[in-house]
Amino acid sequence: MKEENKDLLIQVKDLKVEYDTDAGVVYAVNGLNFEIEKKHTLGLVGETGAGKTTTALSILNLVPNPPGVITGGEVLLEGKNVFKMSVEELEKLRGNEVAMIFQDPMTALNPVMTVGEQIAESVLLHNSISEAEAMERAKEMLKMVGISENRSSDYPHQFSGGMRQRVVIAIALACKPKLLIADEPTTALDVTIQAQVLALIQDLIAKNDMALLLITHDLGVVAEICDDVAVVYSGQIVEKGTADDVFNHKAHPYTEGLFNSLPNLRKRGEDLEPIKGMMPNPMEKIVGCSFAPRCQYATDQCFKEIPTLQGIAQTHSVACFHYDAVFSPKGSN
Amino acid sequence: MSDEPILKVENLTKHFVTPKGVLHAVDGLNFEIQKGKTLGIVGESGCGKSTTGRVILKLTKPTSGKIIFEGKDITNYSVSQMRPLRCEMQMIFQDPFSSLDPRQSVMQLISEPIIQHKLIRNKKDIEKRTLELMDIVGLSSRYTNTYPHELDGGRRQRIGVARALALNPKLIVCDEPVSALDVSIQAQVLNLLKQLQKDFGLTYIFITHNLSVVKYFSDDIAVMYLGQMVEKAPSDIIFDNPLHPYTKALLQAVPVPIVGKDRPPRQLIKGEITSPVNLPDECRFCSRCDYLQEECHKGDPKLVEVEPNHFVACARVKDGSKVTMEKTC
Repeated sequence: MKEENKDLLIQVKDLKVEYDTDAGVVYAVNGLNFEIEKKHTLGLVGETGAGKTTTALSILNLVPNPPGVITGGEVLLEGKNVFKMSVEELEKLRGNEVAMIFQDPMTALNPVMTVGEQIAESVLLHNSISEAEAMERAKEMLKMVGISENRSSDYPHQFSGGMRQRVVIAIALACKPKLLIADEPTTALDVTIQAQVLALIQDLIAKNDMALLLITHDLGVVAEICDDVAVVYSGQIVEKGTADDVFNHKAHPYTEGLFNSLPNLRKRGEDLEPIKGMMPNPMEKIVGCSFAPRCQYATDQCFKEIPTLQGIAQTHSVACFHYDAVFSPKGSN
Repeated sequence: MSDEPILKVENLTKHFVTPKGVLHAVDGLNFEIQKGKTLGIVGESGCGKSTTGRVILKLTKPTSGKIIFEGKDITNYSVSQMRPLRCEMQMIFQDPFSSLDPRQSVMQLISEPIIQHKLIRNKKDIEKRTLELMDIVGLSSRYTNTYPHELDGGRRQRIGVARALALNPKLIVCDEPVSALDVSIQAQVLNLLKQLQKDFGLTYIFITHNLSVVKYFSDDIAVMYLGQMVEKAPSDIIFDNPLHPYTKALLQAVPVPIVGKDRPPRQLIKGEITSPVNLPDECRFCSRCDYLQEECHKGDPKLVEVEPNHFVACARVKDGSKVTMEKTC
């Protein structure tokens, strides 16, 4: 994909983020690259500590500083570098062009404001309209996420978890952003409610022509709503492609390991195949491939050189020297 | 294996009195577990699954009903009568972060139950047993003097497992033991629990909201909704032939990691779990059910055995009759 491609909404290029803590430097994101086209959905999958949330915060230039420092790379939103924007420009960007939904709807809402006021607040901030108009818009938004508009004067504690997450979605979408970042939006919810909320997000994204960056550890959720998938491991993307590429033609040993660890694909009684070992310590600089110590295909080369993302099919790329061992191209088998 | 179940629960009920009325946390549960088997209890938050686990271990007193452990009715056992039984019934908790004392080392944490119950008195032997337990759950001996905050979630949960195992229990209630863990670590802990069951003939009650985990793990599965058991059957049957509308909905709601033509279709269930306080006298699933009939509003449906070992509580499902699954609304 060329840089001038007009359909690119966001490009993250060689992003590096560190956290400077008392115990030492934590290398959270180590040269991460991806892009999202307009109206596309990308799922960023990985385990705790892989750097998913830090990446999301970087897009909004919200990495807490201190201790967080963006040490390299750039994030381009429609060609404009987010890291070089002024405070005013960033204020315009946040909540207006890019909105974010967080995992816990409990802490994301203000407990002493009615939900109507909270939705109207973001509308007022980014549009020059009257309070009455903003409140009207808030009611519209509530209706859109499936909450009756006469509940707009209720407080967050009067809603259930699923309903609260709907309110958070209403706030995020009130200004019709171009990109919605959803950080584990359904992890705190029960399965039946999770299914409802995912369907709602999917529906609203399509209706409003938005792009979505979905951050999750749940491959099932990704399969549900993402066009494209990027797998993150210790701050780097190890594999990316369309959902079909990554789910049906996986190429990276870590992706393979993730799928093998899932109980639902297995028959009862069979042993699961967990990935052996633990995530690497993020305080140590990586030499070679970060997955090598846990990888059954690792050779000497893996411990010395860092593999870079290379294309193996039209839409599919992987960062591994030995992807042949895992990969089954389309049309084979 | 004897036919005598290791645990039997009869009409187990736990109500909490709240300012707003009576909260029906657990309402008339009946089940039994054979030795060496696993019963999975599944349901969403607020369905009473954790309360069930706690009541069985007598961590809270049941309102009514009976708990029969190895043939003995322990429902009215006093604290001191329960004490020797604590060695035989143990619990593994969900959150390995809050269930461990942060000021105790791994050695202290694992030896604590042994010392408390005076299983071993000699200090050297206690240490030996602790190291043995660490080996069983796959904790390297170099962690003896580390503290929980220095360990990741998977290792912490292994400490929880070792603490439960320390007393050589027969029955372990596992309350969401892997939901706080990452998938790759989750698989390691599940494999460990499975291995321990084989090695020590353990009986598990496995409480979780995650259907894929119970399928992997359980012999029988009980589905709970608002304090009641709505369906219970051997694991494969629950997945192949779910009869209760709620079980069906629950199964379809699980996001499956499959992309392409093999992806199963899914149907959404409407509404949310209703309040367990002051319940009306009708089927508790009424407000969310797609298959409503008039009968559904006439009292609680009874649990009926539709085929051997397959119990369902739904007005549409009658003894021996064929079940129609046509939507009525």
